[in-house]
Amino acid sequence: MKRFLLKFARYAVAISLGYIVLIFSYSFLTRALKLNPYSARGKNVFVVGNSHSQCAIKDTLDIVNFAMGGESVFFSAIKTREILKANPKAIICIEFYPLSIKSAYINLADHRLPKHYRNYMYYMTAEEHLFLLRNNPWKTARVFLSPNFFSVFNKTGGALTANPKAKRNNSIVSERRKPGAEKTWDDKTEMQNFYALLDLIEAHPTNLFVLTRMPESRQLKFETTPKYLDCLNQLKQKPNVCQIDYSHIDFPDSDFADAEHMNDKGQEKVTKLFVMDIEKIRASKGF
Amino acid sequence: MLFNSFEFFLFLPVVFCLYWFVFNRSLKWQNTLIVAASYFFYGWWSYEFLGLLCLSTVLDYCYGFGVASANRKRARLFLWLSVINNAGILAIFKYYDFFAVQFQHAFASIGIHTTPLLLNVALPVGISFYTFHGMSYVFDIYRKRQAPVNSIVDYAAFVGFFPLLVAGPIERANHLLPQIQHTRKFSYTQAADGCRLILWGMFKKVVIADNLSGIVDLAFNNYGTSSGLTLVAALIFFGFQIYCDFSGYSDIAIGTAKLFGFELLSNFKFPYFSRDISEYWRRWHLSLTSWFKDYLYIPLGGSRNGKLKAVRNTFIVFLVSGFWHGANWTFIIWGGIHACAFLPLLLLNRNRKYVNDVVAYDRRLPSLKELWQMLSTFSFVTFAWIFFRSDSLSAAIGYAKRIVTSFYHNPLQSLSLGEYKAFFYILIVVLADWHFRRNERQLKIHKILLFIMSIIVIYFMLYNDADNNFIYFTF
Repeated sequence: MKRFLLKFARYAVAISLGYIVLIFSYSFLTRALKLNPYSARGKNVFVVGNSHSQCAIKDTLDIVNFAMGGESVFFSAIKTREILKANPKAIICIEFYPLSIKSAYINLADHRLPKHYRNYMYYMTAEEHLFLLRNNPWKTARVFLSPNFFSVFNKTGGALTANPKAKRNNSIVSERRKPGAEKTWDDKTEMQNFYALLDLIEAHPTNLFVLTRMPESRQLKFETTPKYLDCLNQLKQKPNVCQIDYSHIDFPDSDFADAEHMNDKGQEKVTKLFVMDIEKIRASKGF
Repeated sequence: MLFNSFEFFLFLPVVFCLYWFVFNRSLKWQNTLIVAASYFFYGWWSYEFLGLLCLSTVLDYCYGFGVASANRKRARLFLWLSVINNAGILAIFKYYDFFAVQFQHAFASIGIHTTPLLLNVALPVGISFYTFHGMSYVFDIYRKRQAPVNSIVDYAAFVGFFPLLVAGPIERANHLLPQIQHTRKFSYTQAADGCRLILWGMFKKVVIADNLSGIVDLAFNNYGTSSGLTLVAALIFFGFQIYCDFSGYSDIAIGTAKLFGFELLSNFKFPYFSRDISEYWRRWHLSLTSWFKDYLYIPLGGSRNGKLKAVRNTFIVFLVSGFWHGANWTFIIWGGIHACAFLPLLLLNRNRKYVNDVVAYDRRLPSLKELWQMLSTFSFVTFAWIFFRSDSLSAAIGYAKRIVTSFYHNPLQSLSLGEYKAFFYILIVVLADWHFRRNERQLKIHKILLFIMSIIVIYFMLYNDADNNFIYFTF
């Protein structure tokens, strides 16, 4: 028995050490390979946000769409920080729609955490890791120990992640309505995501930030809250912030793939508008 | 509690330490600990159905004394009571809704429309396994192979022993009970073998089966829009998914039991290296196959009363075995297909050709003939999986039809990266199984490979977010 226990303990220690070495080696590798090379390749306009932006804007000569389905403001802010490190002149178009703040916490605390945390874990500060750990200790610890070894780079911009089963304006099928999402609702935590974005904008006064709101379902427009408008106003007061809002344009249903996401046809239309609007903003703001 | 959960990784060392360090002075206390730990293990998943397990245990324990009676009439009465009791539990929880719907359809076909009262209850995990344990005990007493157990704790430990409680192997009373009733001694070799089996079982479940399940689910849920080649690939993946899932569970169960000084029956002996369908059934889920052979096929007369009766009995066993897996016509058809494949071997007296030896036992590689035999058996078994995996008969037929009608000729374009990855996983299993094929209980794995395997298992356990149940939990 003694021999068995000793051998087992030795084996457990060796495996734990081996595992830690593996993860640290990977962390160095991934920082060199992931976000930075794309950001430095002469592109100037970077789109970050969730599936609305991901489905609505195509990559062009000057625009790179880094948006990813279910991405919260918390992770968009981390991504933006890394893009700005690699390309200090970048213009950041960051999605800020009525449920940005709300979905941020839901996504962060619930089903989307592993996907996004795995993508950005090696770019995050200790404080940011602790923020996640406080909100969802078990999932955070689990994800921290299992990085995505199989994905060297995670740019998915422009890819359609729409749910084909969800019909246009069927508000039941939507990421904000995931079962149990309300249970994890917390006002304090959701606002931390907003403040993270605010801090980021204040830390980069020479960069232009465009708050985007993409075409969306009619239902979502009704859900615009005073809190959202208040946050939006605070952000718009900054001299380097402006807004592009397509939510008021009545795109036909044939431009949508599902309740809230554009299809290829809609994507073409929105991209054309977006390119023109960005040009106007750059000209007016002198970027 | 799942074997591939973190709760189990806390539970197992705690029970192990209590078993060998705290309760080691008395056999009675060790067995009591096994019962308590097993009920905790089961109750972690569903404490509501713990009562059903206790009831089944107490009733079969009592019937055991009645069946042991010298009066054969009385013994037979208690035997039937036990069968009715266990089959009744299965009938209510597993089959009632199925039969109610079938009767509704039958009446509707003659113009009588009824609204059946459906129970819609969740299937208690492991119900098909512990009821079979109970029946095995009573049958063995009736046949004088086993004396009734005086201690209910010993009997409860036999029925509810946690490694095999929810998905087998289905143990025999005359195999496990004597081990429960005698003092166990810790053996380093046995425990080390157990750890290796647990690790290999985990690897098969967490790394292979769980990674194949996504591709399989996608193909079976969207077979109407997939290419024939993708569907064939998904079918092969399912064959390996279910094998790795179930044999992985069995390996973990056998390995865990070894840590406590028990030797359980083998459940899998590399079934995909079988040279014909009869050999396959001696290697696939053999604790169930031998259970049906001993307690159904032989009591029905086996092959002693002529070919016709042997054919009838074979069909009964295969159909019942299929139905045991679930209340659905798909399982019955699956059993029927296997019975049909078994029939020629039975009629030509070739069903016992490969009884003991494994393919290429004293060689490194199989001969061309053996390779052909293995591939053809595997192809047949894989085809039959369509019925096992599909949700309904129409889906199974649609799946098979789609393979034939839309088979693309450019395989490189039809398969995705995930599918190539899946073939790589399968290659690992095939190579490892070929290496281990002479003895499924003693895995010779190099230290460095063990180390790498452990790291991969830990990684995938952390990486997979979904709780991946074992497939046989639902049977």
